[in-house]
Amino acid sequence: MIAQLWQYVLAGVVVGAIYALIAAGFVLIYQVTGLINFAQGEFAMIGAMTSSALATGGMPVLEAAAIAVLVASVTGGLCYLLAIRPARAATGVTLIFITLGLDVALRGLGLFVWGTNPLSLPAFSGGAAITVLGGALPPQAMWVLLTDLLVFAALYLFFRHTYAGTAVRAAVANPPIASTFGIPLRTFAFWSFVAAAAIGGLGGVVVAPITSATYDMGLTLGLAGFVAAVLGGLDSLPGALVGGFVLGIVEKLAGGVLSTGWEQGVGFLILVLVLVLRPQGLLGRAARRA
Amino acid sequence: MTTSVPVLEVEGISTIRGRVQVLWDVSLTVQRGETVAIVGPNGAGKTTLVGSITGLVPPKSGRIRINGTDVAGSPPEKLASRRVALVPERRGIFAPLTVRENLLMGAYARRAKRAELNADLEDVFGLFPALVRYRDAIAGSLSGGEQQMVAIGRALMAKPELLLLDEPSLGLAPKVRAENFGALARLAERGVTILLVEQNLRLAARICGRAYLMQNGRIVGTETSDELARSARKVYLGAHG
Ligand SMILES: Nc1ncnc2c1ncn2[C@@H]1O[C@H](COP(=O)(O)OP(=O)(O)OP(=O)(O)O)[C@@H](O)[C@H]1O
Ligand SMILES: [Mg+2]
Repeated sequence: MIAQLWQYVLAGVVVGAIYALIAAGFVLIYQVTGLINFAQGEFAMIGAMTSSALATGGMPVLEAAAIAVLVASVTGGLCYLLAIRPARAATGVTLIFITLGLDVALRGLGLFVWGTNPLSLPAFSGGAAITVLGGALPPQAMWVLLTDLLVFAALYLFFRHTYAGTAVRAAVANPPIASTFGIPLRTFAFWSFVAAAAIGGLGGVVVAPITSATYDMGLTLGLAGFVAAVLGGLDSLPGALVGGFVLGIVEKLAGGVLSTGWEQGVGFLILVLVLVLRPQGLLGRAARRA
Repeated sequence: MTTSVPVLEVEGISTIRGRVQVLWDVSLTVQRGETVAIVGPNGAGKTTLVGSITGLVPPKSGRIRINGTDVAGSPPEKLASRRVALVPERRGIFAPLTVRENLLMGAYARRAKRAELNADLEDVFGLFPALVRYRDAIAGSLSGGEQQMVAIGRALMAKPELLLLDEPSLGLAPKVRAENFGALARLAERGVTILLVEQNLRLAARICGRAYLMQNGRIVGTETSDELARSARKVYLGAHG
């Protein structure tokens, strides 16, 4: 029984790591622009589909992965330039509908380009399953966790130890005053979309060997990433990390112990509970300044 | 009166906030090295005037020239690159950032080298020794007076051609206020061009060569520093019978 539960936890850690990456994208864009980008999951889809299609065509996996992340980043930048920036005078609700529209549009594009058949991507490295305290993890799980480690460490270093990262934090803290010192809010908004898309795309790439890739995978990943972000506080990158892992583990435990139906439903249960009991999330600030 | 191009020349600006016209045909001039005050009651439009100069609240009409170049309607980033630096009303520091980070952000538009910025940081800490021990403290945790020093220091990091201060004495204890105005006086002596919004006439008279009086969105008069000090005494005596 314990061994079985442990196996669920390990499986939860792997999906949780992916959720954390998607959630980081939500947080980045929300922090910089105040916007919830519901197209976030599609960047993962684009990463997964592009890399799988390229690898299926014979390209080495790591090369395909790099190009896929680039394609996702460019898509993110274009989303901002073509859909968000022209509508910046719009109100919050309108902008949310715009990102929902983007989500549908990108999924449609995925269907158009790659069709409905699932694609697969070879694992980045071969070898036997890895054993952790008696539980088993696929070798690809190490790549997933390594990606999380590198992405979150890079984000931490950028925001805490670079001049540009400090400027982003200043812009988040007080946008009008930041602008009077020459800090370019719109440029940062653009780069937040590029970075969120790159990170989402990377998440899609590293998960593709585990789940395989389909044109509609962005929907579930996006929703899970959103729940993880809200769980973590929506304005906290460490919160996104914690939220992702908590959600992944709870999902797999619920799916394993109760029934697979619960695996899908438990995320929404968590979402409702968080919004009612602790709207600022696990690690978020109590209130966000306007 | 010098014949050189003024650092700041505001010419007949009108500014609307929401649906209300707040500024009516406001004009003023600040020469290089001058320290000029804007005084006036609450709601006179002082903050709106400062906002129009920095681009935060662009004027509907009129001209604003910085060193002879018209900048009316330019976004705040443009004004920053022309070395106009603001000490905003209620300080507006970046609360989650450390004191050092706040100061560094003041220099964003300069794109200066690290070594140069570090030297400038030391200058600011020299002007405000009280901040030294809070170098790496979260700015939002400081007292109001210390936060005001951070706000002034941050603006100085921009190496401003024009330093705008919006009520830097607001809500401060007399002792801290005096310290901060001492620092401003030293800046004025160094030749920094200053436009100071201040309701406390005595404080304004201490460092400003002359003042514009504002009321209901218009400039209604100008005073020399002596006249300002006299009005300050009158107001002071008036308030205390
Ligand atoms: N966003 C806004 N919409 C409409 N009216 C505004 C807005 N902001 C300010 N006002 C009005 O503009 C007028 C001038 O405001 P402003 O803040 O410039 O005055 P002030 O001289 O700085 O006052 P104080 O000394 O209280 O800081 C006030 O009557 C104020 O109510
Ligand atoms: Mg004011």
